[in-house]
Amino acid sequence: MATVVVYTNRAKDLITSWINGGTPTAPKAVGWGNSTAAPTAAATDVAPFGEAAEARVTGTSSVVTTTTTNDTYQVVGTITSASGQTINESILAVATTKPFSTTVTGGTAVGSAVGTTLTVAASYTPANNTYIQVRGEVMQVTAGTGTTSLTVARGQNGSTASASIANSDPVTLGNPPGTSGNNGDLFMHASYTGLALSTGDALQATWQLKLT
Amino acid sequence: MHSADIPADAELHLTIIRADGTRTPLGRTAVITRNPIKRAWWSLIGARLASRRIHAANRDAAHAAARSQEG
Repeated sequence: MATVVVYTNRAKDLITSWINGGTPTAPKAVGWGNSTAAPTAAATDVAPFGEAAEARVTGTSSVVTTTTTNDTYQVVGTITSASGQTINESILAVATTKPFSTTVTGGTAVGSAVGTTLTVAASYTPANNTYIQVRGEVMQVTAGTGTTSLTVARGQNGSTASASIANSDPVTLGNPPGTSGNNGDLFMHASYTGLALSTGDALQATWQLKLT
Repeated sequence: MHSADIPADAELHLTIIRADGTRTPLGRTAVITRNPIKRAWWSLIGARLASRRIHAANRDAAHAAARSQEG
């Protein structure tokens, strides 16, 4: 597992929108994940690989100095583990409410980089033409809203279609640049070596985005 | 990844706070930087050190759990 942090393509979209006068909602929602099939975080990601059961927390945001005055945006948040688990990814998102998520149960996309059907465990409630992430791949759901049988366009948002999609893989909604809503704005994403936590253990994450 | 693809640097620092209150700072756990020298250093050395700190924390937790079972 590579230890990588990225700010996503959607983050760049949000930052330029804010500079251009858009209404900002500061990314302060801190979350974590424990997917057993977690790849390495990438700028193309729109969602965590597999978000853990604990709720996201609203971190404390501030502007701090790294090199020149006020050149760094910082968020500090702490999550307490409700079970024994291995955490291997952290996220900084805009919404504390988790987006829609379910798991893969079948379809031609399983084990294939070109299959375009995906069967999921729970009825897909977001609208058609929204996006999901499975492992490191972003897919667009072109049909199937309201059902568990989805038609997907593979390898979206610059991601690579994966031949490793498997049953039980987490499926999570997320927003590529140019899309919004559904609590799907992922700002920063980090993957790292699995960290074993017991019930009651907590992890304090300090995120920094440095414009130095 | 080219420097032109990285408009800003970013870091994640982690600290474990065990249920008994023990704090274990893991320091920089993940980094992305525009500086090619720093990026190479992180890729070759920094990331491995970060993983080593996590492994050490995992070992410490396992030992503590074993001791508490013995006690």
